[in-house]
Amino acid sequence: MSDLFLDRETREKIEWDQFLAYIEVHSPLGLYYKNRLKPFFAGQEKHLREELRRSCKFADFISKNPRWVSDFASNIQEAKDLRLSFKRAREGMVLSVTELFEIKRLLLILDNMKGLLKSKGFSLLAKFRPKGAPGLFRALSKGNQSPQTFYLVDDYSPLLKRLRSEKFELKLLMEKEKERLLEELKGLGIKHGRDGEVVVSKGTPDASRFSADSRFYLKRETLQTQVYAFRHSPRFLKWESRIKEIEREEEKEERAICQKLSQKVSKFADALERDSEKVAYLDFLFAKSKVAVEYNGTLPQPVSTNRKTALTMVDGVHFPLSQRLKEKGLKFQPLSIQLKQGAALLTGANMSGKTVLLKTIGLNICIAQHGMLVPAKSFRWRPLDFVFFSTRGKEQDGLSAFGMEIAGLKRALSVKEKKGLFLVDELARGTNPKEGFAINAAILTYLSNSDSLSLFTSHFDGLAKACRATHWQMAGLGNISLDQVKLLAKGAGEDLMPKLMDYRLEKVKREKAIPHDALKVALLLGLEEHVIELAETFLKKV
Amino acid sequence: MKVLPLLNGRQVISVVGTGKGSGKTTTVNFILSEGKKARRLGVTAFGLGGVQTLLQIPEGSLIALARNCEVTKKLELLDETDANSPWGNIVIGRTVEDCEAVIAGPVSLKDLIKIKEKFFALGCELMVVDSSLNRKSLSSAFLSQGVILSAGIDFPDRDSLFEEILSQVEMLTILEATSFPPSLNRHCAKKKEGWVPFSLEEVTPSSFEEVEEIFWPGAFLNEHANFLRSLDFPLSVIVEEPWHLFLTQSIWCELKKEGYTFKAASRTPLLLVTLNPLSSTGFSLDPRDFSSRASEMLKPVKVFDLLYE
Repeated sequence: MSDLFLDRETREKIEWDQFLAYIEVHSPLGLYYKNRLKPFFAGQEKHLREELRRSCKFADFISKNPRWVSDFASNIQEAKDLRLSFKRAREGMVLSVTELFEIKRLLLILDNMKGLLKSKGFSLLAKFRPKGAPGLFRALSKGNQSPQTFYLVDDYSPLLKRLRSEKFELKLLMEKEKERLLEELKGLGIKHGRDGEVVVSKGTPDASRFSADSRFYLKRETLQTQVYAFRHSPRFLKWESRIKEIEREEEKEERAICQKLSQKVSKFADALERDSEKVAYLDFLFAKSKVAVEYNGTLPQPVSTNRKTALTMVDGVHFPLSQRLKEKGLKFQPLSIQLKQGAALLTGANMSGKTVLLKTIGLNICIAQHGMLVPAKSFRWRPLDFVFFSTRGKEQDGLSAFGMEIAGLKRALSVKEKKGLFLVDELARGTNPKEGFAINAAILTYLSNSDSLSLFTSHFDGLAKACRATHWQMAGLGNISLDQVKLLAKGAGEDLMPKLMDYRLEKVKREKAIPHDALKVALLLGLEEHVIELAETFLKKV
Repeated sequence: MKVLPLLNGRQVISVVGTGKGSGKTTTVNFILSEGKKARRLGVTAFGLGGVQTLLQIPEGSLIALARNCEVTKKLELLDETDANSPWGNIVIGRTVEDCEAVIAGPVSLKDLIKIKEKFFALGCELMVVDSSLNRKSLSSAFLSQGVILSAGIDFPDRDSLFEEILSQVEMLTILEATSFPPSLNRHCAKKKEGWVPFSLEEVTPSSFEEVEEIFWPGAFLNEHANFLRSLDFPLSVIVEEPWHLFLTQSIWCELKKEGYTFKAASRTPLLLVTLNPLSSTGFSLDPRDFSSRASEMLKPVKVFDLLYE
């Protein structure tokens, strides 16, 4: 926990990875940046503010300039991660032709990016503007080749030019000689293959004829057949051997050119690596800004540690959940809350959205601390050292679900010196109610006196009063009676619950009993009415 | 005889082989050699594990190949792709001289489609795909406008050599179905009321009494023959494309004898069968005998003798 902003369980619970999945980077470099993404911790507010301002201005810019967006996207998606090639060049290795080609393409992309970021006067992104390496680009663009392509053209070396020209001449001569031989075969009325090869069955008169003819030689044979070919003239064989020699020399020269170019790359390697980092960042910035435009993100305001109010969220949305609801034709009801340093309690009917509120707070703090715009109307918070979500987990490593819950809390509470966010969802719900209450009260009281920020959900009556904690309540089904629910539930489908449930949050000013809406929820979930009525009679006796 | 006129202006051709030593590479080289002056060529290898083939590529041809192939030095590199192969990403280049090179191409159909798009954007006029005869590689036929089958003589049972070739040709030339379900991703049976989806687990002979045709999504393999036989009466099976039919020669012949027929919802035409009478194991057939017998047997499919044409 000490070095982690989020542990695995919290990450899963608040759906951090699902949120990140919406940030679609375009290049491997962007992906590299995304996979290494780190939050800004308490104490790094200056850098966090700078990043948030940049995100906000960039999001605003891209929402107004669709053409620029399309140019930027098509350019950045071509940017490859070539840091391995830069490393190889720095270590004195000879880069392959493909690597040189890729570097040339990257240089072109860097140049285009430079133009794109310059044209709009992005002072905010000035330090991320790639510098490129015009000298290296020129070195990789010798001859008449196009800026987009790469070939070891003759202009790289007079020797290469001479060798290739000689090879070309010899190949022409050989071609002519081959054509002459094929004509000769035709004249002899011999049926042959494309390369002048003749296949004959062994032991036939044809086989004896070719065997005896000194113009032919046995090229290869199988158990049943022999393949004869025209014997080439000594000068043809000489040309052939010279071409092989030229090709060896040519390869040596090509390698020497690649070596020189690799040395040149090594001189620019550090600068290009820095440019690659910039491209990685710009890709991520672009991707996160695009999503922020989609969810109409707001610029979160970090507040100082001295402030009593540590979090103010107005109309906050849990973006991944809101997207899933949208697919079903439903709408996420935005949530607003204000939390002070210490602990607060959240109560409400089952399925009234308590856990969703915890998730929304956790995810949105996480989004803000990663320098992104938050899906809310307004968001002010005190940057934290970690976010921790405690919930009844799955049995694991010999520990029961209750055991896992306590083990997680123990880990989080062990870092007293850090300022974290504790989101505690129905702690100890699986143990006996008396002791469960006591555990909740103890931890709530303990966290109330810490520098951390905590929000507990619970169904235990009197917990807020016992701990003097701020009490929030989900409106739930409080405004509708059980009898009304019975009437409405008749013949209604499963979609009645979200229609009746009021997901708004209210601050409980005068302590009152927590809502007892479980029977209404059970009825809405389809439990038979006579069972509900039986439950009512038991409830009256308690 | 020339191959190019038989293509009738088709722009994407897949060359598949019956197996090792089928003469597939010779066929590809033959087309490249013949096409070099006539059309701007594009060539790639496609198959499970990224086929590596030694090709003779004429000057000016486009090649899509793995970035680590040695031949890249002889190319003007034109474009990069995010298509993968076991030998690295695929790059596209143009040969600046005639060259002989081992090339490895993409391994997925999705990547092959991307390469096709890049080739034609770069001015390719005839794309030749060197594929192997396995289920995955044959899918290259999906984007092709014609298939060329290269038939060799390297079969485990030489006595049934001609039957093997005939079966493969028959499977690649099954008739086109006149009707098939609107959605091709579920098993469907053609009943009075139209095409009705069914699940293999729920089928009984009585529920299929009036069914004459079924649609089979995905590959139809040897083991699926048992399903057909469990129904006790012959049916006509429609597959999406002929290359979804993947039966051994013996099962194919048995099913035919038992009265089963096969059709395809759509079919890439088999343009030609090329013959290679030389086996890599040292065995060979008389080229003339092989050619004349195969021509007779495979009629009306055109046959091309690689040694003498």
